[in-house]
Parts: sequence; C-alpha cells; structure tokens
Amino acid sequence: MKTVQQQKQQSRYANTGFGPNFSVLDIGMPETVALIEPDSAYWALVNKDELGEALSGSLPADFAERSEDFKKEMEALRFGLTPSAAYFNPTERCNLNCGYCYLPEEMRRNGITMTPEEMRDALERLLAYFNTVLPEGAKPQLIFHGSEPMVAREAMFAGIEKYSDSFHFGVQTNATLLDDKAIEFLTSHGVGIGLSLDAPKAEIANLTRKNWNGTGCFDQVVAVIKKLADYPAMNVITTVTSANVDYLTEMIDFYYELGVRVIMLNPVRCTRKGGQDLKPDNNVMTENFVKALDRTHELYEKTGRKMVVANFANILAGIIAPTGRRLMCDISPCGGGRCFFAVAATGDLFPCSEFIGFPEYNGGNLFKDEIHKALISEPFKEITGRKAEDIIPCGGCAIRHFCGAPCPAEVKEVSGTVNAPSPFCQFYEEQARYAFRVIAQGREDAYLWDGFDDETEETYRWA
Amino acid sequence: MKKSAKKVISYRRRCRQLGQNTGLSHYILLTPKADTAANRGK
Repeated sequence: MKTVQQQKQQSRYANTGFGPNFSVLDIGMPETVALIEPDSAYWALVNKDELGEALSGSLPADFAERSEDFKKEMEALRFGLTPSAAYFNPTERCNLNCGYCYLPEEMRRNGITMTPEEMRDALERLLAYFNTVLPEGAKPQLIFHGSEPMVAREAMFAGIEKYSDSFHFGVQTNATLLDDKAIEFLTSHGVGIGLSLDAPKAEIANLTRKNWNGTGCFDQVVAVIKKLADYPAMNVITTVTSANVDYLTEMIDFYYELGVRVIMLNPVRCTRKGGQDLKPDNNVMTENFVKALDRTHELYEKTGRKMVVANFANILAGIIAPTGRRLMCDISPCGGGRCFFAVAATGDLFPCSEFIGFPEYNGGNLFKDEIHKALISEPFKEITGRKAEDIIPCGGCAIRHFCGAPCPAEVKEVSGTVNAPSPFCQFYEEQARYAFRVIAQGREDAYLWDGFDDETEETYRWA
Repeated sequence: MKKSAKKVISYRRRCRQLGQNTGLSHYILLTPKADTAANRGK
C-alpha cells in the first residue's frame, strides 16, 4: 500500500487527485504566465504555449519532490519566529501635525516624554528579553519611532550612547529637529536614519506634512537629505496619498538627483480617519507606482546607479526568497507581535506602532510585566493569529503569501474586523505581477537591495 | 515537458540568517548593516 506522500510524489498531473494545485496567474506578458502553488509559495514562469505540458509530467513531479520542504519553510517563517526587533516610541509628542498620522492628536499634542533614566531602564529590560530569544551574538534591532522621536533627543541619545554595542539602532524621523550635532551623533554611532518627505515640490509636500500652525517642512527635510546623501544607512519614506499620487515618477527623479539610495513609497495607512480621507484611488496608485518603478529601472540602465524602492523590493524578495524578506507586513500573520513589537512612551506594549492609539491592543507594560506574557496576551494573539487563509477572498488567492493582506490595524478600522482584505488589494496584486515580470526579464538585481545575494542562498532551481 | 526546457524559470532562495534580518514593519531601515559608518570603521 502506497503512502499519501508516495502517491503525491508519483502524481503526474497538477490540479487532480494527489497532484499539486497550481494557480495560473496572468502577469501581463504576451507569452508568459506564472504557475503558483500558494501554500508553499512555489512558482514557475512558463510559456503560454507550453502550459498544457507544464501542468503534467516533470514539473508537477519536480514540485512534489520538494513541496514538503517548501511548506516546512513557510510554516517556520509564518509561525516559528521570535521577535528580533522593537519599535520604540520615546515620546508621545510630535512637533508636526501630519494629516494622516495614525496616532491620536491629543497624544501628539500633549503627551509624555521618557526621561534618560526611563530610557536606560527600558533598554535594559528589552535587552534582557532579546538575550533570551535570539541566538548568541545576534543583535536585536531597535527603531526609535513616533510621534517624533527627536522630541525625546536627550533620552534617545543617552540610550544609543549606552547600548550602541547591544542593538542595531535606527530612527524614523521627520528630520525637522536634526541639526548638525544630531546628524554627527547619529552617523558616528552607525544609526540607520529614515526620513519622511511626500513630494518633490514644497506646495505638494507641505499639504500633508506640516507643523501645528500649518507651516510645511519641505525645505528643512530636503536640506537634511542633502547632508545625509553620502550616508549609506539613510532612506526616505514617501507616504502616498491622493495629494501626491500623481507625482511619484517626479519623486523618483528628485530623490535620484539628491543621491538617495533607498526609498519607500508606502500607501497611506487608513488606520485613522485622516488617512482614510487621503487614501488614493487603487487604480491611480497602482498605475503611478508602476511608472515610478519603471523609472528607477530606466535610471539604473542609463547610469548604473541603483535606487531601491524598498516596499516593492520586499515583495520581489518574498517571491524569490520567502525567508529573505526584510519587512513582515506582506506575509500573514504579519510581523506585529511575533517578529517585532512596539513600545509606547508609557512602556505599554503593542503588536505594532499602528496599534498604539488603540488601548484595546495593549498587551502589557514593559516596566511592570514580562514581555513573554505580553506576546501571548489576547490582543497580541488576535494579530499573531490572523491568517490569509481565514480571509475572503485571500484564502483562495494565488499570491496570498506574497501580499499577506496587510495591515490588520488598517483593515480593522476600515472593515470592523481584522479578518478582511487590504483596502489596497489591487495595488498588491499588481506589485506581484510586476515582480514576476521582473523575474521573467531577469532584472531582479536592478530592484533588490545590495547584499541580497549574500544574505540568501539558492535552494532550488529548475534546470 | 522535459526538465531541460529552457522556457521555464523557477527557483528559490532562503535567508542565511532567518529571524535576524526578517522582522521589521513598513517603517524600516532597509540598509545593509555592514554598510553603516560605524561598522565600516570597525
């Protein structure tokens, strides 16, 4: 009597009996389609005129030999990781009042700020926790985040000073408080610096990113980008809204001219009404995003200098090397509460910064509770247990493990439940199609971050 | 379909340090750590 596994391995046909279920994905190329086995994140690009042959014979058999390994890899990625990073909000306050911020206004206007002593205590506790879950010698990542972390400059710098050997530090900042001394401090300590800018011209950028008096900060941010252009650990995030969605290609040219190497073009999170009001139309967002990606490739071809659009690069990486992705928004369960967690200025623990404005997602307090216990609290479990398989239509979607139906905080606010698809569903679909076209054209290197090949190793190739 | 068919592209890679680079959210620092100024100086 043959075992199920033996029968699977001897199956000659896809989509019947013990054969694999291959979804056929149109990737927008005249001669090529993708075959995808969604559960294992396996894919093959095949010629349309060979599709019949691809669904029988050696391709399903080849997959069958490896499917269990692929599935185990996905299982480990999705359910077997422990946190290696924390997003740390050293203050609730912000000197800006951006229209789409996901943190409540009262908190940003009048909130608390950590003292240097509280900061050191917090980092000591976090380090003790990470030492229990990370392999020896592995450094956790700690990203100062906001609100505006530079409002808590004294505490933040005290923490970096004391623990620079223990964490990989980063700071996501609006750049307006980065004077020359601060830049010198951060760069000399090797701190990753993420800046925010929404458009290549002041009149557009200042519509969404402005201070409490309504004055925009375009000139200040551009001045800081120029100062940091040669610093390799700098990147810039553009939040894509209805206000700037028509300027993405111009944005690429603008950043490129400034010498920026890594950017993100993140669709605005609809976690609060401000973000929902600024949501770009999906078709417009997708069309302009694709043009922006095309532009980065044109520039790369012309000059040999690459500018990575990191949120797309992560989708591409997730297809090529599911475990090689850096970001854990586009996989389900998302990384919130399982690969990283967020610490508020009060010490309260949340699955992700997106949840800091929602007390019902507080899983404990860094100063009072054990982190291990917070990670298995009910609010955390709601997020760490959220799977694409449980969501309609994601459960039947071929690209469910390349997209992950992000993001639960946003989805909860838009749909009233975390078990609903992303409001940017079509945008993610098209990114996956674009990524497969990149692979079909052999252009992966032009879009992936430097070092990707060294970080990963090949485990399978059809040859 | 013969396995040597040249019109099929399919491959897979895996992270050498799963769990160390994998683990950030959409606000990130996607810059190779080895490239930072501090590490270059070491």
